[in-house]
Amino acid sequence: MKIAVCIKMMTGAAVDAADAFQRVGRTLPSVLPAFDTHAVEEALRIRERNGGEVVLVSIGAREGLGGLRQALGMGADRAILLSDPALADADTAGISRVLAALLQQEAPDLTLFSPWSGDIDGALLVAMTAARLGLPALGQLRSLDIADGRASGVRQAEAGNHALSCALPCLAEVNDSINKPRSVSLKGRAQANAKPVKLITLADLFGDAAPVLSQTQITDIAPAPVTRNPRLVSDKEAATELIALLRDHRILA
Amino acid sequence: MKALIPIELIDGGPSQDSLGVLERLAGQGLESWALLCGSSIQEVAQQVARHRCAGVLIAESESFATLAPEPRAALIGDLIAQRGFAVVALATSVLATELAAQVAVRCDASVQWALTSIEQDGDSLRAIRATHGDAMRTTATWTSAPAVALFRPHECAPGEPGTQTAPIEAVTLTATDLSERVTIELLPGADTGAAALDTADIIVSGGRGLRSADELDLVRDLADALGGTVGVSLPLVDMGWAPRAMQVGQTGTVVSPRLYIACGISGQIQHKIGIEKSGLIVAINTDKDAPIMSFCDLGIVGDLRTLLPKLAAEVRAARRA
Repeated sequence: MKIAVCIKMMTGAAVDAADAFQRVGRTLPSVLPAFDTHAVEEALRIRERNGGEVVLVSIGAREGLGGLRQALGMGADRAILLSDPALADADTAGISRVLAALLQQEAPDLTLFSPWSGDIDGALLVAMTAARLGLPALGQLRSLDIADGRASGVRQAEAGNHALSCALPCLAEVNDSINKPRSVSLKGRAQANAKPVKLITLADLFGDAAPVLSQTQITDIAPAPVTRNPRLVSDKEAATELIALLRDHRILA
Repeated sequence: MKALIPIELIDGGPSQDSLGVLERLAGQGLESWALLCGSSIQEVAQQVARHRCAGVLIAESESFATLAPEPRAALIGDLIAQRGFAVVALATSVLATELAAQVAVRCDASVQWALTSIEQDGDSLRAIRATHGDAMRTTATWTSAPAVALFRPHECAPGEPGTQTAPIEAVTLTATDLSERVTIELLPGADTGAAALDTADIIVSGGRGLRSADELDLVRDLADALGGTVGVSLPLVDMGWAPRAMQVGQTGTVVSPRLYIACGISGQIQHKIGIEKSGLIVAINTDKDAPIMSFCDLGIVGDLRTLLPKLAAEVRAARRA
């Protein structure tokens, strides 16, 4: 079984997808985002049970290579990193076009995603990529089973829990409660450097027929209005401060 | 400018979030049409029509028996082409997010998400989005049509239904290729003992900072001292330490108590959305840089294992005094 894991290149703070592919121009840390470690772990477990290979797929700056090495150290087999300055302004629709083309070329049986920091955009990316590929997508899963050529899992939704199921090949997004990721062993770290990492650009994937990368124009980024004014105290002052606050607000007499 | 607002059904009725988005867009001067898909939904349509909107479109078909978005996306694609909707706006939910994605791909459009508001300026539309972990507000425009918009969960609340009824019009699903790719089954609610979080005056919640399910007793003790209710964050439900009925947050209960105390909860955006409407927010966390420390009124930096018993004792002493 061929399992692809989409690794995001995230900036240090919790930012969203469009920003990760960089509108604000921060430097990218060379670490694997915590959310992604769960998707990698899930892929490794599925490979352990079914055989096959785990391919990491990522779109972002080359600085992100360290994160991919970390996932290779966990046990993934190889990685593909697409970097291109033209992606600087890509939005989620644009990224989903590029990702769909990459996945079409790799043709995995299963493609795993992890949520972005904010959930909404991650679920969007999975669903948009799957729709472009004409494949089913299982979004926001907290459990995943692969058996008899099908993927199934459970997720939490507003009206209650959903049990989902579809035939492979498919795309699935797993959240961070799905497993406890393994740490990278010294041996794994050593092996990671020898594993193949293919560096490609948009031209390698599309020739000179690159897809539309953005249908979004950002006109302003400003700090959110401050709604509360937090006062931080140490544990020594905690009781006094809490009681005083509750009295001020007449919650305690 | 014409806008289409698909109304999500929860327990057979229109979701409050969907009605809120409908009223919000109508209030901004957009010609806002609600869309209801399902079977036997005449009564729901009557209910929706009493909210501020240009009208209600209803599509009755067995094809909508599934929760999967495909048939809804197909219908919305047709309606955009036939009736010239420039905007499709939804309130974020697990299903609405997938629907928005499928509509966007079908219409070769882009989605702006995490909207806190939308502004119409002549022929153009601006989305105000919560970004950077909610620290920033990003203004963005769609450079192609239609504009697909996902409001943040619980961003728009509907008003009381009026006495006027907007016109109701039937539309037909004509798409034929609706082979079900994903089966989605709503599981019966196994969780019992609802904590009545939505009406609670005081809530004390525990999160991932707890080391075991037993430590929820520490949280419960402080809640008891204050005469409050116990809540938990999503990870504790996922780990099976607490039933879903106790979950505070975007997919759990959105709460608005006078006092909310978060113990060992980092304050991910899903939790933040669930507690923002609280009166006072007190956070107890060992990490002074946890997100919750930036949206509370009082942040206590320390270990909940020593703090909670002490605070419970002090509260009891204060109440006796």
